[in-house]
Amino acid sequence: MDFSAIPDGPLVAVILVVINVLLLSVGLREWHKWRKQQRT
Amino acid sequence: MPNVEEERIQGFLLGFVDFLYAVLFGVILQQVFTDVLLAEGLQRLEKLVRILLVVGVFYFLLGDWIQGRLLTLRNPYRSYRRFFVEVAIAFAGYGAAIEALRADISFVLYVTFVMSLGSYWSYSTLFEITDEQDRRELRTVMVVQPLTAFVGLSVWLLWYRFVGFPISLGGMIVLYIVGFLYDLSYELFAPSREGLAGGPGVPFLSRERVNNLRSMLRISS
Repeated sequence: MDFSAIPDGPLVAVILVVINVLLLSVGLREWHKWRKQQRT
Repeated sequence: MPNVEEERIQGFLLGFVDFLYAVLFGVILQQVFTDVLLAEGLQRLEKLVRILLVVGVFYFLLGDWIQGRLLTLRNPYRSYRRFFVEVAIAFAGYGAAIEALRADISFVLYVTFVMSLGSYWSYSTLFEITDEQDRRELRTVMVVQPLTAFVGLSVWLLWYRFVGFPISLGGMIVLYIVGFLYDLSYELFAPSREGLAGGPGVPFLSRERVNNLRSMLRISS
């Protein structure tokens, strides 16, 4: 694989995966909270 | 008169962000001409793919900016956090545009970065919200954008593994489809308001069609 455009591409991708896992977990928690409020 | 002062500060901060985006769009347009349209040694098809990729990135950034601006209009800044995130989004957006001009799949990485920042921006806005109707939209952004970021990262990695450089016409069409599905999912889970306040919506699909699709998929509106 040629990562010449972004030499640290794989490292950047791993960092982005970690960040997005955290963001998604926060997002799902907020969404779940909102759905719970809707039901009550 | 603290409110007047707050409003003035708000005004110059938004003015700076708008100016930054205007410069960004101007530079992208200029580079389309110098680096693609007038460039020697590029085939017509290569030029077409690059221009359409930039148009896609341009549309994405413009839509992102309009949506962010509408949300800020209804929910003004209460701290500087969102302002700095917006500046960072503009930087990442520029990275996406210049890589798209080179037909390099790395532009997806920058788009992913924009999405991550957008999700964080929405999370920050939830704490500064004044318009209750926007809560659903912000929560949708917080879920849809990280999920799309995962799709983008997978596309980027698979591209490097199996296709390589540069992006072909077929690849560009696939990326357009991914972009369209992203816009559609956003609209399905966060129904927009009527008129201009609702933002640009989904390209080629009317609000009525999206509403029909939403009831078909049994998503609450």
